[in-house]
Amino acid sequence: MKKCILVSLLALLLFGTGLQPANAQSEFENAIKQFTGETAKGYLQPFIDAFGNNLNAGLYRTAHVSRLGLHFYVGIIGAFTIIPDDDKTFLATPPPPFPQQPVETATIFGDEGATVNGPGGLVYHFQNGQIQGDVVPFAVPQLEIGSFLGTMVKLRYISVNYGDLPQIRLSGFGIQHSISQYFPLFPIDLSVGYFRQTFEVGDLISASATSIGVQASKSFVLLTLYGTAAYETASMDVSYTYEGGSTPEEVRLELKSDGHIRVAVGARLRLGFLILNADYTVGSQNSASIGLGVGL
Amino acid sequence: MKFIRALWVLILVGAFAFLAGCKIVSFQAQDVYVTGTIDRTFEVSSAQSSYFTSQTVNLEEIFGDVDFAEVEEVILANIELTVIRNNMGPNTTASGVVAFNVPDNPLPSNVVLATFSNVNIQQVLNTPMTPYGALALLSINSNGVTQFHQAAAQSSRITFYVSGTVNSPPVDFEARLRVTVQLRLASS
Repeated sequence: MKKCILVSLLALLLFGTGLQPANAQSEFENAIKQFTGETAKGYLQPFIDAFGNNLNAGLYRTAHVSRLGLHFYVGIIGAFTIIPDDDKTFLATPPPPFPQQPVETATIFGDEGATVNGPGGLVYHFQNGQIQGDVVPFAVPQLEIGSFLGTMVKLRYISVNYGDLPQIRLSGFGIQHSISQYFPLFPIDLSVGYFRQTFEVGDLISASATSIGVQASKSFVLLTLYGTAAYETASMDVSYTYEGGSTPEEVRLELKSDGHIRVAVGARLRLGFLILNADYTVGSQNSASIGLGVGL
Repeated sequence: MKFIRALWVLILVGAFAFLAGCKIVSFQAQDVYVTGTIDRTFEVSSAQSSYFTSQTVNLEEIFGDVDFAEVEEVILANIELTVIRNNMGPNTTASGVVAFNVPDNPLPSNVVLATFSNVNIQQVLNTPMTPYGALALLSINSNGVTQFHQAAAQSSRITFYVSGTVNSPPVDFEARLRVTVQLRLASS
């Protein structure tokens, strides 16, 4: 049976919230099947944005990268993206033969879907929102190894089986390179970074997120204050069967989160091997991330 | 050191307050609407001026993926009738109704959902007759729609009838009936 792939993604995203995967899969799959292509984009776009935002959160906690020497870090990154009210509604056009005038209705994060009344009591209901709340959580392990010529490598990887879903796998690779090493006695640390992540659910889903940015930080004994600015994109392929027509229609969508700038400020505390950091991001969707790990 | 500790206490308290004030997303979902279309072709023939034909459909087959125990409401979104073959003269006109009944718990009489009147069959060949638009050839019976909502919620097997008269027998045409239905499924 063809599964709606976003279900899988949501299931991973909502680990730990008491979600029962079988029910969620069924409801979400049914919710998505309600839409033809263009309407589905509007319904799902805020979710894609939030997902991409979370994927790109917590990549950096300092701009300091030693020119040469052992750097090792392994930890868990938790991210929380805030869903703004603007992302809870969108303009959608009902399917023919209903009047082809856009109406404001709920996105996946919204409340009740709009109703379009036809003659003699005929009525078309747009889908209701299916995810309630203000904050989308996410968690992923991260590993860092360096340094060579002021460069460290960052890796993210998780592979799980969840309920009846195909295998869920997230992997990411990035590098961070020190810029301040080229400017002796520069008062702060500066670096540039690149990170690309892919998210797959069996053969059904393929999502990716890319971040290119600069980082700055200043250390005070155990404390490091840092800031990052990055250009980010995310995309996701979605496929499902639309069953609202007389014959089932295979729908394939390529959903993209438009490139946007993320600006984050945060702090890192190092207590021996223990490293704790937190930052707050301002962008199209604001988010916060925390990291807890051990490192050398 | 005191400054650093105080700063972190401030950050952690702020983070806690932030998360405490926000509701983490969950699948405390609202009802889900699922759309499906009943699509049946009616062979209509009669030596008389009147015609009558019927077909029974099972909504559980139309909505194969849906657990009908979760269906809270059945909603009629659209009715469309298209003449797809005409073996009658170019001036033959027809009037008729689209009606329904529930075979498992029959209503006292068939319930009219939509009517059409004095339609030139040749002129509407392959053009859907709908209740929408400037050429709305189907007239919807709102009482019938209400009864459909109630009856279909009780029984998933529905019999649709296409019947009426023509001005010049015999009757020989083929019509395609498309009924768009939305199910409201209870959230778990």
